[in-house]
Amino acid sequence: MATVNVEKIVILNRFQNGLSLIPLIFYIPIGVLLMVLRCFIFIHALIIYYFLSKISFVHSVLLRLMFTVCGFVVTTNGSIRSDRQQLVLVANHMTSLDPFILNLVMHYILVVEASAHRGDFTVMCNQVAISGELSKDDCVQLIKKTVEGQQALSLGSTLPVLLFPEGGRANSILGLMKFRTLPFQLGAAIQPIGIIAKRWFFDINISTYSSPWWADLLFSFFVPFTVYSIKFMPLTERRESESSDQFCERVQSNLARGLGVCSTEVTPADVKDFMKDRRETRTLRSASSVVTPPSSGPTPSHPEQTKAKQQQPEEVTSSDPALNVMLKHVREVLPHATTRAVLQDLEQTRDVDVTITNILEGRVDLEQKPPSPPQQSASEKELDATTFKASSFHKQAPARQMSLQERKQAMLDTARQRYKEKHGIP
Amino acid sequence: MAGSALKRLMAEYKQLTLNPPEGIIAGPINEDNFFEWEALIMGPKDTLFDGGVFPARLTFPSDYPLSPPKMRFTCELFHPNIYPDGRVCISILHAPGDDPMGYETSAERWSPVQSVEKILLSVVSMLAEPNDESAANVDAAKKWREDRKQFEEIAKATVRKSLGL
Repeated sequence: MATVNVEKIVILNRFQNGLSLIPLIFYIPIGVLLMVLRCFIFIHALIIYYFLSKISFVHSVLLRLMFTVCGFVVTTNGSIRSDRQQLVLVANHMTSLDPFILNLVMHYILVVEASAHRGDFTVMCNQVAISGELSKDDCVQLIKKTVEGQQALSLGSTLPVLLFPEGGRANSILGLMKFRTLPFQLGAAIQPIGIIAKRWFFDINISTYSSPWWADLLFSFFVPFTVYSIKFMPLTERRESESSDQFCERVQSNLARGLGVCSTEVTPADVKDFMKDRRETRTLRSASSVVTPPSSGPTPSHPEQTKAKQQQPEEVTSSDPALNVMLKHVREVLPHATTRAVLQDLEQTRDVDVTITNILEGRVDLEQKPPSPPQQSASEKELDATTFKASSFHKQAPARQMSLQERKQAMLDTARQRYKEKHGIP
Repeated sequence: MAGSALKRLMAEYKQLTLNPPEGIIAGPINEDNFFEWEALIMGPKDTLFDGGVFPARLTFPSDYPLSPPKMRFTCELFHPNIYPDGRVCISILHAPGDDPMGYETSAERWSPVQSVEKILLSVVSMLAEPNDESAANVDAAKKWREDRKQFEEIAKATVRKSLGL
């Protein structure tokens, strides 16, 4: 597995570069017209989809045609294995329209993870939602039950189960995110599916990391057309000697090879961290640009700081091993300190103890403070006689000792006083 | 390791000194030994132990915060979750590995993210709401369940006794 930066895996912007936007300006009137027309056709296609039976051949041809008019050109390579009693499909997840596109060529039960596929276009799909709170066994049970229910409804024919094991959208041009093991624990044969989407003429990405499905859909109507090639890969079965983790890895690398990309270790959590870092960098940059008046020359410290921040996400993953060991030690003692802040300080000190001291004494700027500050403000609000707070934390031990003793006495006195008042003891 | 434990304890002591939660005071008994603390906990308002001030001793291991401290009330306290010898039985004081009863989820167990303050707050809520499912003091749990009146009487006496009145 290759190490690839998160940056290269997620799609951040819909438009790639400035130059390709020039022809787009001339295309806008046509595009908008096309978009409006296709909106209506699309609605009709959906109505047909819902009201006609799902199996009829005419129906599927008609639908494919209508969706082609809407700008979705779907080509398939290979076919789904229908001889299996129970089949699990795993596909790479590139755009929010993936479930919809796949639904045009086959029927399946989509497993939606509540946290992962928010914002996907799943209107037409049979689906089963699993929430993050369920344990893996519960999820497996739930999926199996849904499949059985479906089987009873459709008189014997089973629908395959589809999962997007990446758990988030990634551009499948450079790499796949790390697969989750859930699909591989269902105990059925796996058929990997590769989806590649391409747009000609304009370099507009179909989905970005966080774009909502309706925006993606409108952009799809806007551009001339989008070509989706769906590649059904050979059935993979778990070998007897294999654990589900190994099986998962094997399928991932097979699918990656089939798509001509590399499989990576990046997880959705990494992507989330990366996005957070990026937002912070942005706010920092905009803040600094507000602070510096445009007439004066840029102060040398600002660009450097921004640069250092930008490099951070890479450093967190690929700094030198000695530093990583030290980082681990510090985090063991102070789990609430952010990796970035700790690393930054470690780079200067190169000493675990010094860094711990620095953090504890507040010399390190922890961007993510532990959840205690809100508690403090809450307790400050309802300050009453039962909070025994010292005005300061003395530097000398004897003074601290005295203060502690005094506060203990004060608490006892207050409690006694109250008790006497309450029970009328003189 | 003891060095980082000391630093962390110092930080927590500072936090508890400058910003203590309601009705809680805690600090080292003697700063020569930073691993022995005394805490005073006021009985939470409008509960059975309302008004009492209960001293407890916290003993920290040298690998704190990797391992949890031990906590023992030094006063008499008749309570379902406190052993007759004063030891406190709450999940936050148990490391994820050892679960003598087998009913706790690891989320509520000790981890380095927890703190003295969180332990003491848990103890306060334990005082307010005894949990008779995991009884440390069987007599107390039985009384609490079957003879609430008498339990209240005993609690009242405990409160008064804790104040030295």
